[in-house]
Amino acid sequence: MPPTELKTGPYREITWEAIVLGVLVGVILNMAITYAGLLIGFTIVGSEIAAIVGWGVLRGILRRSTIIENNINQTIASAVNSTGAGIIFTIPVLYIRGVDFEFLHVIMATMCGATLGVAFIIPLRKQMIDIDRLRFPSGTAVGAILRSPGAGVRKAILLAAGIGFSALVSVMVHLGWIREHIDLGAMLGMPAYVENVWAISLLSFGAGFISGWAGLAVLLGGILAYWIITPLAFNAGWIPDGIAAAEASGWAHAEMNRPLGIGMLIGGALMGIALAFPSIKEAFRSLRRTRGQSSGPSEELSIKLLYAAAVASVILLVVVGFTAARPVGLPRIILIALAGTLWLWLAGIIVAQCTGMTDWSPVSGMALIAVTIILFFSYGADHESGVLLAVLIGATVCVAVTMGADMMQDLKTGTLVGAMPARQQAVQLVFSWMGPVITVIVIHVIWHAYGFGAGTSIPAPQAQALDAAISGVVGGDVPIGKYAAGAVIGGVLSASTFTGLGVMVGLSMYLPLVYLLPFGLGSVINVLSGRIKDRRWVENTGVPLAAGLIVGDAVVGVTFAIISVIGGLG
Amino acid sequence: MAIFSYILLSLATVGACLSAARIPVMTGPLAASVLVMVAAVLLMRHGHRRKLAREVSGDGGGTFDFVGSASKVLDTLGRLYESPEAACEEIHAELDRLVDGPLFEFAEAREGLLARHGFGGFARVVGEFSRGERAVNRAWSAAVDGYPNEARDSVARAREIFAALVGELEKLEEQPSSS
Repeated sequence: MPPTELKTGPYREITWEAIVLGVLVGVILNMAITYAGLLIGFTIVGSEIAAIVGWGVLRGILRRSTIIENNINQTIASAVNSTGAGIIFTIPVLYIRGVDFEFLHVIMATMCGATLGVAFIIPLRKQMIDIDRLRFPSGTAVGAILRSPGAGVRKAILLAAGIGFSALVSVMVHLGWIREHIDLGAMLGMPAYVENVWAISLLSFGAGFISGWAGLAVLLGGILAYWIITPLAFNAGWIPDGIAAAEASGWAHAEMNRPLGIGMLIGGALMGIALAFPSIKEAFRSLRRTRGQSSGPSEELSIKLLYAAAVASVILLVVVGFTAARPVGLPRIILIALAGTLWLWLAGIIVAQCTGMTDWSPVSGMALIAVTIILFFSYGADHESGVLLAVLIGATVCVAVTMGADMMQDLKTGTLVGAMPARQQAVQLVFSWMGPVITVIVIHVIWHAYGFGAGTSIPAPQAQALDAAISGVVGGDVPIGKYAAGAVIGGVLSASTFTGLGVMVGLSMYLPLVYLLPFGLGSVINVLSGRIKDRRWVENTGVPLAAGLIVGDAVVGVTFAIISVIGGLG
Repeated sequence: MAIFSYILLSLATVGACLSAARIPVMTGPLAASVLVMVAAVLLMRHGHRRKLAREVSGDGGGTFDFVGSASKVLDTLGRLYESPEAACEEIHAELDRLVDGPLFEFAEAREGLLARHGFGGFARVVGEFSRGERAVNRAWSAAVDGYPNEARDSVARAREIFAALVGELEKLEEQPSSS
C-alpha cells in the first residue's frame, strides 16, 4: 500500500467547493432530466454523475477533497435535480387541460413538497437504513464510487469494468446500433398475449443484483401479473373483444394489474407499518437518545423538525389551496390539506421502502392516488378549482416523495462512507427549494416554445396519463374495487414472514415487465452466486461490478439527456 | 409445514389476484382466497417462530455469538485507540479487516437477534450496531484521505458505541428470551 499523504486541519466535509460544484451540477442535471422526462416519460436521478464529477473536480483537479466532501457535493447535486420527476408527472397537466393558474402557487406548493420530503424521512432513516438495513441499490452504487480511492485495486477494476461495459452497451442502445428491447416471446413462438420482452438495461440488471432476495419477490409478482393473470384473463374472455392479442398485455396492465398493484402497495405498506411498530417506536426513541448525548457532534436533525414540518405543511397547503382555489371553500381546503399531509407521509414510506429494496419508485401511482383523494374531497365544488387543487397537492406529494427517496439513497451512501446524517439532511434541506424553481421554469419555457401533449414534439407521457386519470376520476370511473382488493391482498402478503412482500408484489404488478425481467435476472444471479460461492463473494465481487453497471448506464442516460437539451435549444 | 404454507400462500395469492383482476371484481372467490391466504400466513408465522425458537435453544445449529463478535470489534477498535502513533495505512488496513470480518458476520447474522430479543431488542441492537459501523466507516474514509486525527476521533467514537453495544447485548442475554 503506498504511503498516504497526510493532511492537517479539520476533516473537509461541508465546503464552499462542494456546495458550488453540487449546485452547478444539480442545476445542469435538473434541466436535462426535466427535458428528457417530458420527452420520454421517465427520469433518472443524477447522483452517480455528481459523484463522478465530484471525484474528478474535487479530488482530481483541486486535490484537497475528501470522500465525505464528495458525498456532500453529490447530496446537494441530487437535492437540486431529483425533484424534477415529481413535477413533470403532475404540473404539465395544468397546461394540457388549459387550467388558469398562478405561477407562484405552483412554485410554493412544490417548494413546500421539497422541504417536507426531507423532514419526513428523518425517522425513516433510522428505521430503514440503520435497523432494516435496506440496500438502496443506487445509494450503494454511489458509495462504491466514493469509496473507490481506498477500496483496493481489485474492487476498483471491477467497478471500472462494470461502468465501461454498461456505458458501451447503453451508448449502442441510444445510437440504435443494438435494439432497445429483445422480444424473446416472439423468438420462442409464444402467444402474442404473453409478453416476454426484455429491455437491454444493465441498470435494471445491476439494481436487481444489489437487491438480492427482495428482487426475487418483484420477479415473482411480475410473473403473476404478466404470465398468469393476463393469459388467463385473455383466454377467459375478460378482455374486451376489440383488444387484439398483441395489445392484451398492455390493456390488462392498465385496467387490471396496475390498479391492483397500487392497492397492494398501500395495503402492504400499512401492514408493514403496523407490524414494525415496536421497531419504529425504538427508532424514534433512539433519535431522542442520540440528540440527548452531550459528547460529539449531533448525528441526526431534531425530531422536532418533523413535527414542525407536519404543522407547517398543513398551514402552507391551506394557504396555497385557499389562494389558488378559493371556490372550494376554507373548511374543505383544511380537510384536503390534512388528507394531503397524511397521504404524503404514507406515500413517503411506500416510496422509500420500494427504492430501498429495489431502486424503483412508484411516484406516478402515488400522484394518482393523491389526485383521486383530493378530487374526492372537492366533489361538488367548482370543477376547474377542484382539478387545480388536486394537481397542486398531487405535485406537493410527488415532490415530497421523490425528495425523500433521493435523500434516503444519499443517506445510504453517507452511511457507507461514514458521513454525519445531520449534515447531509441539513444541506439537503437548505438546497431542496432550488430544484422545484428550476424545474417549474424549464417546464414553463418548454410549454411556450413547443407545447406539450399528443401531437407536439414534447409528448409528456406521464402527464398525459395523469390527465386521462383525472378525466376518469371526474367522470366517476375510479377502480375503487381494484384498489380495495389490492390493499387487502397486499396487507395479508406483508403479514407473512417475508418483510415487505405485499409492497414488492404490488410494485411488480405496477411496473412494466420489460424492465422487471432484467431486474429479476440480476436478483436470481445474486441468490445463485450466494449459494454457489458465498455471501462475501457477492459483496466483494458482485456488488462493485453491479454498482458499475448502474453507474455506466445512468451516466450515458443523463449525457444523452443533456445532448437532447442542447439539440432542443438549437 | 414450511413448504406447505409457502405453496398454499402462492396458490391462494394467484386465486385472490385473479378474482380481483376481473372487471368487476369477483367478491366471493376473492374472499375465499383471502381467507386461505390468512390461514397460510398464520401457518408460516407459526413455523417461523418454531424455527427461531430452535435456533435460540441451539437445536438448529444456527447460534451466533453476538457478544463475542461485538467484543472482537471492540478489541480491534481498542487496539487502534491505544496506538496513537498508528499510521493512516495501518488504520485503513485494520479497518478493512474489521469490515470484512466481524462486522460483516454480525450484520449477516442479525436476524437471530429478532428471535432472541424480539422487535424492540432487535431494533435497539441493530440500530446501535449500524451507528458504530458508520463511525468505523468514517474512520476508514478519514484514513484513506490522510486525516489521522479524524480517523482516531472516529475510532474513539466507534469504540464508545461498541462498548455500549456489548453492555446492551450482555444485559439482553441475561434476560429470558422473548420467543
